[in-house]
Amino acid sequence: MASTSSEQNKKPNEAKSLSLKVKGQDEVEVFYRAKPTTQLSKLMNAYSNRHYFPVAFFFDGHQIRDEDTPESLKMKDGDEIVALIHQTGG
Amino acid sequence: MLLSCWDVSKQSFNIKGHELKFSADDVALLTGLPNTGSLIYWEAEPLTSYTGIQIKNEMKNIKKSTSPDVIVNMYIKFLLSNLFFPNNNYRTPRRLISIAQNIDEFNSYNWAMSIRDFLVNQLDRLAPKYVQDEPLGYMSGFVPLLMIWFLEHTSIRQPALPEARPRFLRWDSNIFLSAVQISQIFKDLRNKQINKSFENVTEEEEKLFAEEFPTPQTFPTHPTLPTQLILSPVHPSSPISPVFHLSGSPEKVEPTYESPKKGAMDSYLQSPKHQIFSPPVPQYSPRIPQLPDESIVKELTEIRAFITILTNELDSVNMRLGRLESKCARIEGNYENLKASFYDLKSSISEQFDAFKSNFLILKPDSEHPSTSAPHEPCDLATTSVPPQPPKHSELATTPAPDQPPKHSELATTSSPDQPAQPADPATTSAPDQPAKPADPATTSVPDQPAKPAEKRVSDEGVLPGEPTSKKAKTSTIASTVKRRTNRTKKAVRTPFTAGKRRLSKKKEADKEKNVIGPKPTDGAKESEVMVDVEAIPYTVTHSSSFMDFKGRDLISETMLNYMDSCFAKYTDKQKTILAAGNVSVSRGEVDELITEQYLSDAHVDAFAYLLAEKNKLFPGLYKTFLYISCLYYSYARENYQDISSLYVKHITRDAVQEADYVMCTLCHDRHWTLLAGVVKGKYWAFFGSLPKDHHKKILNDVIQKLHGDIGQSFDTDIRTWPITYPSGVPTQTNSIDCGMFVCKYMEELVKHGDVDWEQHKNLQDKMTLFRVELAYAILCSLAK
Repeated sequence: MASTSSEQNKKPNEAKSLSLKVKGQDEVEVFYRAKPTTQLSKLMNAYSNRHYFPVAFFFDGHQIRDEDTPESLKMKDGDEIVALIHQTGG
Repeated sequence: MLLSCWDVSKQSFNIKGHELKFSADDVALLTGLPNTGSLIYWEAEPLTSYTGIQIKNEMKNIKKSTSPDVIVNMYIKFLLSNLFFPNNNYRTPRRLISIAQNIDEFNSYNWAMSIRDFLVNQLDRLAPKYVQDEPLGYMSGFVPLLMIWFLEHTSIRQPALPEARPRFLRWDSNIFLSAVQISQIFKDLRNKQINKSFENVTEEEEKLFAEEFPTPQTFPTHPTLPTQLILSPVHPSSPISPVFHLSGSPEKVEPTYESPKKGAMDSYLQSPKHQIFSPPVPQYSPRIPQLPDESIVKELTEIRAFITILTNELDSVNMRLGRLESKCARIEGNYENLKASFYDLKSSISEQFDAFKSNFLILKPDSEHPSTSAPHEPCDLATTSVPPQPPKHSELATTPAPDQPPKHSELATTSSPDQPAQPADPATTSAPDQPAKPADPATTSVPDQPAKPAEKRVSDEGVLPGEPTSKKAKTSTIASTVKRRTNRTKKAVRTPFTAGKRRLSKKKEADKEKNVIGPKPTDGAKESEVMVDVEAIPYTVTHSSSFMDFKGRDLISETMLNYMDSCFAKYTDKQKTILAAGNVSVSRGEVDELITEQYLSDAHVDAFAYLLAEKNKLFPGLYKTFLYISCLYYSYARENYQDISSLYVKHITRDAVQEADYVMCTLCHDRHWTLLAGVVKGKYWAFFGSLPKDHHKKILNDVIQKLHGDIGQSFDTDIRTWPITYPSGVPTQTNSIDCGMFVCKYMEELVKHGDVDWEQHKNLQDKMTLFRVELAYAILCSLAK
């Protein structure tokens, strides 16, 4: 996304990593470290590749989109992301 | 109808003042299955996805070439799953397969009691719910048996074949009556027609509930047994007597047509064990004289009875086969074990060899020169009165010695004093340096290493640096493998299964390093260690095919198809978001799921609702307005994710409800989609499901309760008081994948037409493929925006 790259250019010095916690529906927590300017799609991709269920990620009452970054969602160090399983049926 | 008479507390039927017990002995009488042996509780068994229908289809596909034990296996499965213990939705318990495989134990179970318990449980469950003239949904179990039981207890009808045994053969296929007929019968039923017990209980029948029963295992096993069973629908309307024509040994079957089979059956049931190897049929005298008049019907039943005998015989043969097979399996298991241990040995040897090779390579530059002097070296040793060979042999002989280090590396680190001493002793003076040398390179004292061999060479001590280590390594490998073998308890045999397990455990360990489970990390430094660094992980792209060959390709226009193809070619990342709006997001992978006829997920249904709402916005006033609640609302509310579930209902405000005609609440419960539509103006709920299953309706009250908690104040009236209606004539699905699409279509029809005449949409199922493709197209179209 153009916006994030511009943000990256603006604050090259503030690349201090945040630690984020992703909590699944089974209460299992996985910790991730990410720069504030990294797209969260990367984190979600890493999480999804380890878990076989399709999941949706929520932070602070919002579903996280691919282009979101910790900065855009105003995440703080140690914040918790909730990963919830999608529903399927036939 | 019988249900209305079922008395749960007494476990009996109450018909016109007469209390009739439905006991296991009755079942034994009706089916001819003995009321002895161990019980099976089907209700508690875990279910498999293997359905009764599949078993049925397998039965139909039996060919001549199928081996008899497979047929028996399948026959038992069929009998149990489709006849005695059919479950709703045709799921079969896992136990079934094990029973079918252990044919030997088949007779040790108490089938009569099991069937009865299963039925009674069902009756207990359903009877309280009984309401006049209302369908109850499915009743599991051997329902036809109840019907026959009822007929046996009353004298309203005369059995078609009064003498046939087991008793279910007495009735022909027209005993299955419609509800109207049954209620008529109940009205006409007079007290005197009810019998407390069965009439004409014959001696051999009493045997069935005696302690011992004739075991088919002891029945003659004949080498020329029929090898083919063909399922023939003699009773097309009833599953009661799956009749088998036996063919394959005509000379065996032929005489049986002439002799009365009733007698054969009786004496079969009474046949003591010592008759084992006598031929079954010809010696039995007819107990009932043949009736020439009604010969055809009579003969049919006789044939049927005899066929049962033959099937039993087949069973016994196959039991023997099964026993043989189990022996074979045991031998095979032993063989597997041997093979596994062989692999074990081989792998450890190669491991050791690799370890040695790497060590050898380190030493190699030094040992190049001495290699020429290697032949001389044994001579040196020989002169020192201790030949090199004996130690080798002695080492080999004493391999299981516990002090022997199992691995070369271990040898290096522990530098065990006993073992290196052995070659050291024969080597005279500078021997103490010798064992130190192979130890050193391994213990990272690299700078020393080249120096020492150099010394060695100068002194020309004779003991080659490479040679003794090789010996040691070799002997230690054998020692270690032997040691490992004795340590079997610790080390499991390696099979493909355990290999998978090991891989799993390795993976788990690796995962553990990354994961921190629970509230463990308090130390910041530690936490960062176990954390997964998102920056470091490459974004892994799972690619979808750039060309999708889906079923509905020829159903849509060429322009649509071209557009879809171009989209598929352009976006191949499975996780690429195609449609994102509000809480709805659909990825490329989910579009693939949609068109390849898979289960629909919440993403699809939400996307459909979103697109429908968008269409509504384009033409305001044309369609009904609706508010949509995603199925995720309830599934998260149920799991107490209040802050997230409230996301899905925050648009249900008072103003929005004022303008809306419908509140559409999709539900996904137990992998099935349903729709709960709230009609705002009419103040009632309408429930739509494409399967007539009751258990999806159970959650409705909870759903409405939860909705009331979150959005109840947006409505004028209490939504909990709205009645729930179940519209009739709603089209239903004929497969197991389309229910999500049906829910979408219910929504669409409601929004388009309000009151829908569902009779016009009977053939909705046929269009499902088209609907799926259309939805996929609409989702892809959002890319163009």
